[in-house]
Amino acid sequence: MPDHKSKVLDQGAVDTALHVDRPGPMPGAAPVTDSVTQILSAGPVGSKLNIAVLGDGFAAADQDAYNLKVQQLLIDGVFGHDYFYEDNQAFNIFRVNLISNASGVSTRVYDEHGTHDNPKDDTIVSTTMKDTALKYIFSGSWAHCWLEGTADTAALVQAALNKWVPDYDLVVILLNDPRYGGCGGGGFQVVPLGIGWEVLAHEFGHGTGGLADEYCTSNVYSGGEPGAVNVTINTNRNTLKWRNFVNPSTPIPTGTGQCSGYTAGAKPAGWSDSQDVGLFEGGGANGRGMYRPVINCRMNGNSPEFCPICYTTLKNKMHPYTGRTFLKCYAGDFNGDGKSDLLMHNGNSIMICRSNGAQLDVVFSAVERVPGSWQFKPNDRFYIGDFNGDGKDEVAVFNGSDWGMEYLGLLADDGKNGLKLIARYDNTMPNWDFKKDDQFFVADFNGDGKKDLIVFNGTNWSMPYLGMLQCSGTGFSLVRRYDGNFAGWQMTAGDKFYVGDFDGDGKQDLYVFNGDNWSIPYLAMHRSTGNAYTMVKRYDANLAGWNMTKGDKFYPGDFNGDGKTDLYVFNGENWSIAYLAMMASNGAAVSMTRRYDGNAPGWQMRKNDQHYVAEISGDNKADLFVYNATDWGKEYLGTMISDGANLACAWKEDWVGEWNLGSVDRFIPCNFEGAAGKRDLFVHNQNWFGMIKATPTLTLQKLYYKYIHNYRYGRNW
Amino acid sequence: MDATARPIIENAKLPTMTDAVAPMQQAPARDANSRLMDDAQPPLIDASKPTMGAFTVDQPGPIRVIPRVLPDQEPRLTRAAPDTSYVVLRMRVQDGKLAVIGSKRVDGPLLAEEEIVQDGLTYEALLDDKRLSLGSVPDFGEQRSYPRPGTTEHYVTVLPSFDFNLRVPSDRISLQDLPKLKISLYRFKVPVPDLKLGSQPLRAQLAQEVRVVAELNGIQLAKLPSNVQEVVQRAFTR
Repeated sequence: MPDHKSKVLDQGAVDTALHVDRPGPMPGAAPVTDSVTQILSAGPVGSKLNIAVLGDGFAAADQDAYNLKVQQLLIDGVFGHDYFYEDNQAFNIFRVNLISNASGVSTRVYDEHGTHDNPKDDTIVSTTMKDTALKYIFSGSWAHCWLEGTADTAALVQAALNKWVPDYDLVVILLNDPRYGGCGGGGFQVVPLGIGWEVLAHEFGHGTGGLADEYCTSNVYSGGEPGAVNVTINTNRNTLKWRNFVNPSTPIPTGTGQCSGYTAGAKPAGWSDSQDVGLFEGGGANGRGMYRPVINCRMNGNSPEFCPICYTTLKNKMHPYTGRTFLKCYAGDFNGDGKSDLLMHNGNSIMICRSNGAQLDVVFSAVERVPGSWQFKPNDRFYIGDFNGDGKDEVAVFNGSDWGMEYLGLLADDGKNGLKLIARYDNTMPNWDFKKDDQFFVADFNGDGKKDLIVFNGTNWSMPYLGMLQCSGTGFSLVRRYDGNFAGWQMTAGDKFYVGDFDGDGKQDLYVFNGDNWSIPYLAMHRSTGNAYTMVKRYDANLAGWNMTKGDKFYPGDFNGDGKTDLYVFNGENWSIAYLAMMASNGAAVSMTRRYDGNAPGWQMRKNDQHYVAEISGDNKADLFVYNATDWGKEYLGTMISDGANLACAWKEDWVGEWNLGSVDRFIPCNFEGAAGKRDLFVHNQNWFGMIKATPTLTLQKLYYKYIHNYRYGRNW
Repeated sequence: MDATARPIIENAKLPTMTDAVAPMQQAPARDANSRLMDDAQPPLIDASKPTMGAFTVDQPGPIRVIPRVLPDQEPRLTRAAPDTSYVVLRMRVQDGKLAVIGSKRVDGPLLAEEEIVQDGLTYEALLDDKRLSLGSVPDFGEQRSYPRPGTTEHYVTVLPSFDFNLRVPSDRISLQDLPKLKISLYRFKVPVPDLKLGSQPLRAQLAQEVRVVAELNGIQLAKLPSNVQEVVQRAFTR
């Protein structure tokens, strides 16, 4: 029985414990022997791109500094920004702690004889050797790649990689020398401490996507078309390899002359030097004769974001490694601005995309875990609601199948556009033992403005159980449990629960339906008293003029705007024609307001109609989205607008804008516009994600393929 | 769809709701076969399943401060998964020749590469002319000094040799197969837009577009340096 293993963090504990900028294991105590720590864990090494980080010249006492530098450069730097942050699910990072006997690396001084660009005439002035793990020598001479290895270095590096890293694609070797410099190539980057993450990100552009440099020199290129995606000699707009990203109003070429900027007229207002695409002379380490797509990409100046061409190349290359799809999506207003954002779950990662009313932008990307910690798994089930009453949505998450025990967690705003765990229950909490088939429902049953959870399990125990998990804002406590009987309702496995405040007192009540386990169907109305339920009405087989059958589907919504949650009831399978009824609640019972037999005004009902409760017209009356992908020759998406007593319907056939409606489409009513009500839809399937507006008519606001990104011009398909 | 049309009869064998007699008026007789909620006694216990412990109001409150960083969630014990391991061969390219300089077996699964970086090199491993694996070597053959502060230019040095990692799924090749393993390293002479790779060898599919950079026709274990022999043998031995 409950073993009181519940683990709940109080607010204070979290505040002091989780001051890491990005998800990842907390830095541990510095090791005193060689070791490896995986600091980004996205998945099996064979299905990810793996980065190994080694250190040279870090003695035992330097390991904390080494760990911190790796955190700053890799996790907070490269993987804390733009492309690599978004796609962190495609990468593993292994930090190898090699204990050098000496602190600091060997150094060498060259006499460059005044020719800094020519190493051939350089002579060694002095070399100071130190006993370090990899025996690198830092010289600070650009023409000598700033540093060099000794005769032993390559073998030492390879031995360390073989011993500590299961597999690797890219290697970063950090030298304990404070100066600036660095040497890259062949997937390796050897850098001292004085560099910033931006140069590393640039080098990863070479090592990951095969991107060419976009910077210029005085060279004049006279060869053929280069193979790299981000440089060209072609000045023909119609055949230019990045033509899809060039706005027709942008002149081609856009800039001519040595390493040009925008020379074809005045640069348009609002032009972005890194994100607006044209054709600029200079690139690929040439000043003339070769062209680059933007004035300044990360493959040119290091600091700007990757340009659309480089970004898209990296995304396409790494997309299979992310394993991402749009199949598991959730809507929630995670920053409290009144606009529904998107939470995407894929395997062991989540991503939050913020709505600005017209489009989504990635603001949070976490792989493996969030601080706290919650470790993501494919069978995590998410429940969105404002559990602490702060006006922002939090996320309750349950996993009953991927771990050795069941877990319930509560994730809240981390203050940085992301989420952190604030409470976790392992296996059990006082008075409730979690089981794999626990079903959760979000409901503010005590009317305190904080969403609570109802939990029901009808299959894993000797009798069904229902629990009321009250949320304090920082955790849950079970305030009431029903064992077998639920306030006069005999619970069975097939019970279906629907949340709604049917008496309008601010406490969310429950409708319960069972069409499977008894000789006749039953529906009951259970009123919440705040910490218990009482049954105010039970309907046996007949619901206020509606003959209940097992295939009845209930959709709670206040369709008449009186503050009491009513019911839409649909049945498309148990009668010769499809039926839809509007059942109004008076707080103690329901009465039939209207029943549609076969047809609703403007919508011909069919057995496989799917309904989604929304609030489309902004009049505080619950409406319906309706979708049918199977009963007609084409797919139909419609709206059913309630005036309180009747429905008025409209629909789109086959396409909504560029969205080709299909049987695999899934819909989430939401409010990404931030207008009154809930008048929008997120629509998604494996590879596509759409934002559909219903006002004034069904239109597609935005369409995304494979990933969420907004190009200033063009798109990735 | 025509909402003004007569309702579509989905199943003519079923009645309309209007035709149906209200079930309340024909409630099932309470015989042995009927099961009505009113009849139900306090919960039927399924003795084959456990029962949750009694609800007690005096249980300790759930809000307790626990260690500031929670332990990892406990992995589920599972049966041993089928072997999805793969072997990494560390290859060296020099003067148009390929050589094995290291090897290691790694836990899988191994994801097949879908997007080839055409500006880099592409390796292909064939066994009996069937593709074992294919992958990109996007960054090869040169070392670049980081730009000097305030500039963007690399100092590029072309290297006489370079190494790369080649991966093959271990369930498709054994130690005995190594003499038949054919490894080719290609460059794309011309970019191939919208490249979709079929299952046939790259050279057969893109004869005009790719050129061989280096090749290795079979790995002769006995001819490898002894330290390499050892690791290769270990990597390919289950």
